[in-house]
Amino acid sequence: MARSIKKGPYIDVNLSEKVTQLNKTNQKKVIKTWARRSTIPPDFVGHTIAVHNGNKFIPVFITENMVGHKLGEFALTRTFRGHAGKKTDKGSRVS
Amino acid sequence: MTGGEDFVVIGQVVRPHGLRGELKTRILTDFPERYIINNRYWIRTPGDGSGWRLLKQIRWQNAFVLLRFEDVDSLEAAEAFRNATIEIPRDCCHDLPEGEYYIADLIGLEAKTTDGKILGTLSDVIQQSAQDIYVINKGTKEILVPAVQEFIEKIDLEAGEILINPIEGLLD
Repeated sequence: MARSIKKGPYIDVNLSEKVTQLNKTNQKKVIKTWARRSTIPPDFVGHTIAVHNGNKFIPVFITENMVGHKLGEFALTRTFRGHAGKKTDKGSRVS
Repeated sequence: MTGGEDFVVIGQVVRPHGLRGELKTRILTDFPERYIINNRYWIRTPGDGSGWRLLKQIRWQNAFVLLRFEDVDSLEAAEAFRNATIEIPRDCCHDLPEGEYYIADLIGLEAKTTDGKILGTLSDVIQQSAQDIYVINKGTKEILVPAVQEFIEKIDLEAGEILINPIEGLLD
């Protein structure tokens, strides 16, 4: 069942405060968090949040397309490293 | 040419398919059209049968491709290719658009910060839903850097280095 619209999106308070502080001072630094369930509000865009995946912190650079999604969606808890090692014909894009 | 270092994997045989020697192959390339353009592949088998093979027939099956090579006409002959990798020479790869690099080329690059501090060697690229993540190893320490222009200043494949512009907390 979807969350009630009346309540608005769930955003972790501690995380939100930290981002607000960084926005005020116009600073950029990686914020570590375990709040995978937190929704990404527009204020987070341009910040880097290290989201815990149960094992380590995965740095996620927040872009506009991520707004409205949960942080946990971008730090997978299960790592699949491919079928044939690293010498496959696949590309990596610097976005 | 032998099966040396300058090959890239474009597929892996999962199992034989049918009785006529077809090989069910998992596609491991961003450019599946390679299977149509090329007709000669280096097949690297787990046993001793590695070598060049000519493609006779190709059929698509969802995320897989069914390949039939010359001189492989029976289920028994196809069985020898189970888990084999389908490879092409590195020279046959397309040039990628600007800002995109083959993962095989990135691995092994020396990572440095913009002020010259050596961070380690790029050992892996984790491909996730949002953005790729470069794994940089130095001894037992592992640094994860998102592959975004904000952090990746420059990738110089000829010089074998990648310049990173870190922010506070990224290298911890």
